[in-house]
Amino acid sequence: MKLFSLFFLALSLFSMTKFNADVGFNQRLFKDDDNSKTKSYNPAINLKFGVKHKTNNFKAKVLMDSLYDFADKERFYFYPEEAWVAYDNDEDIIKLGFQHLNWSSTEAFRPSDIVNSRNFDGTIKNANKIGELMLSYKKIFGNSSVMAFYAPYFMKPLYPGEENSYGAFPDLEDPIILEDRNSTTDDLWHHQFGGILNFTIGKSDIGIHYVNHIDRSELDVSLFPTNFIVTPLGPVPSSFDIVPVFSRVSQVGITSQTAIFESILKTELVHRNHPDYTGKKDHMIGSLGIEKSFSLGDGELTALAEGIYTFSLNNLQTQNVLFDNDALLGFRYAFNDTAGKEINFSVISDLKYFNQHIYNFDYSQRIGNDWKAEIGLNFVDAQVKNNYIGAEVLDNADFIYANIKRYF
Amino acid sequence: MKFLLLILPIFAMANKGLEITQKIDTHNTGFVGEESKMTMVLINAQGDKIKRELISKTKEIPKDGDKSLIKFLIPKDVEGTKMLTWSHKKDDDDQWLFLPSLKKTKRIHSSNKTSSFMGSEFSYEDLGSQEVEKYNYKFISEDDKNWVIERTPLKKSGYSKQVSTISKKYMNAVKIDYFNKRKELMKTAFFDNFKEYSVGKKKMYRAGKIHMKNLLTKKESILEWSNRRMGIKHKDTTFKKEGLNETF
Repeated sequence: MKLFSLFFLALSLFSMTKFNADVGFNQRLFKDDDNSKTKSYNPAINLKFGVKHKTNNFKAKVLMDSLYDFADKERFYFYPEEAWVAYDNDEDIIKLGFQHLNWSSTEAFRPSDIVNSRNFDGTIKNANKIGELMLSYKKIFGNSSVMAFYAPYFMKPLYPGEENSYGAFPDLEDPIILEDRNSTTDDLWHHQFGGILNFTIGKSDIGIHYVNHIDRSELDVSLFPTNFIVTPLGPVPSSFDIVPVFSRVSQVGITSQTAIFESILKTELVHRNHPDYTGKKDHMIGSLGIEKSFSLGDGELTALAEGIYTFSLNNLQTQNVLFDNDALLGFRYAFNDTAGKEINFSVISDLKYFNQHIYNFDYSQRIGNDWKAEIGLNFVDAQVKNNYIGAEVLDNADFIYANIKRYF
Repeated sequence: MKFLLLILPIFAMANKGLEITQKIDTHNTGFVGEESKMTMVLINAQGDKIKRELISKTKEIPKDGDKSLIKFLIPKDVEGTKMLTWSHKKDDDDQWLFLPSLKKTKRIHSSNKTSSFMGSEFSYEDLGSQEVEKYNYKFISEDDKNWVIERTPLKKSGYSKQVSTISKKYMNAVKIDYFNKRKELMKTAFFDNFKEYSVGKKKMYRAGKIHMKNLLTKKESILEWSNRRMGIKHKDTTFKKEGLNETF
């Protein structure tokens, strides 16, 4: 009898559990970059799978992302986008585990969106987020909510490796964290915390946030000599380890999405405060965007214009930032047909170094209900003239790609 | 005087059209809340079929438009996408889209309702809340079973007019002809499989199937409801944008 009870309990738990997965077969072909180390052709397999379960007020979710490249052996990853358990009574939600937060209102330039580390392998359009271990609490009241989190562990961003043609990234060692002017640690356990208040006024959705954490929005590196050659002047380093150095930042910001003149106006304004020992200057970043959709034939054309501006920093201080004074113009045409055909085109132009442009074009459509195909082109026009400043780090990241995905 | 005699029947037709529409609206209010699974079959001009599935929840809001939540199940690439709509009697609707892959809730503008819904012959406008205040009405004709009423939109619409045949038994449209901006008959929707529901002491009918035929493209879409439940007291949080990224 007990066995039957257990069987039925297991069956009922299973019936409240949902599984989903998708397998993608990805191909990338880069323009030859005259670098023997990098791979120009990347055939890869991408597996994403998830499990969700809900029983009364308790729920759990796991969503794992992975990729294996048959040519570039360093291009392998497997990480949780989400893996958490939660208590949720519709008004109070307590969540523990790897979480993925998105507070942004703008689409391309998102200065408010700094909480999770990213996987920078791929296109700028698809920079994926890595789940961050945290304990969070969210309270929903009226048309508002307040959410706070504590994240004790710094998740490392994933940068392309030395064999990857996507950008001029060297082989990076494990990161270190700057704790004081002359003190670093490789310990990734650090107090990180933040929160956001969301509310709606009329046709505007507004968010006010604060984050105090290890900053991963820009990449600083230190060179540690590993070999020396002896010269008459003494030993001179002949090779180096390149080590990413991250440091603390606190950010306060406001975001909004407003329905106005049959369009959506999106804004973000943040202030970043760096401890004195980092040597970095406090500054503000603003982004502004407008999105408008038009019916065109049977389909829908969406136009997006966005800009970002970094206040009070000079060129030297923004050289490690990919987007600091840039504009984007993007178009999406959805055919609204049974195959869900869609064309996207975008161009990002640097307003400071006028010679830098990033173009992206893609076409996607469903094949039946379970398959989806995508082809695209990524083209970077940013010749290295200034020691890898801004988009110069992505020079030679010109590639065409074709992906086909099966959903289960 | 002759002028007045000429225009009085026009006012009378307008008043009668509005009166009947208000009567139908009053009859169909009081459903409190609704939940159902919807299956949509899209048929192209060659007769090929493809299926869509979604879950729909609606909460009735006294003295304002309804709040609705649609969750997409099939096709799989958009599974988990949710669309939340707060319709209003006169003002533009508030609308948000939750994109699970980005964990992001986007406000979208509700004015662009003329686009196709999920590639079907239904537009967002056809499936949205049909508030009485958003149209002008004209009574056309009447027989034992039906009224025929024409309505013209007061705000931006994909149609120049709609002509509805309304069943006196079901107090619901059984057929709607949609006319495009060039005033051509573009689509016809046939409502079928009516079922009676009881909410408290009130009884009301709802169509279990809508067959939309596009007369210009020869494409068709069939929308069917299953497991429909009426009189549900949904929690307020179900229809809050703040909760969109929390519900499964």
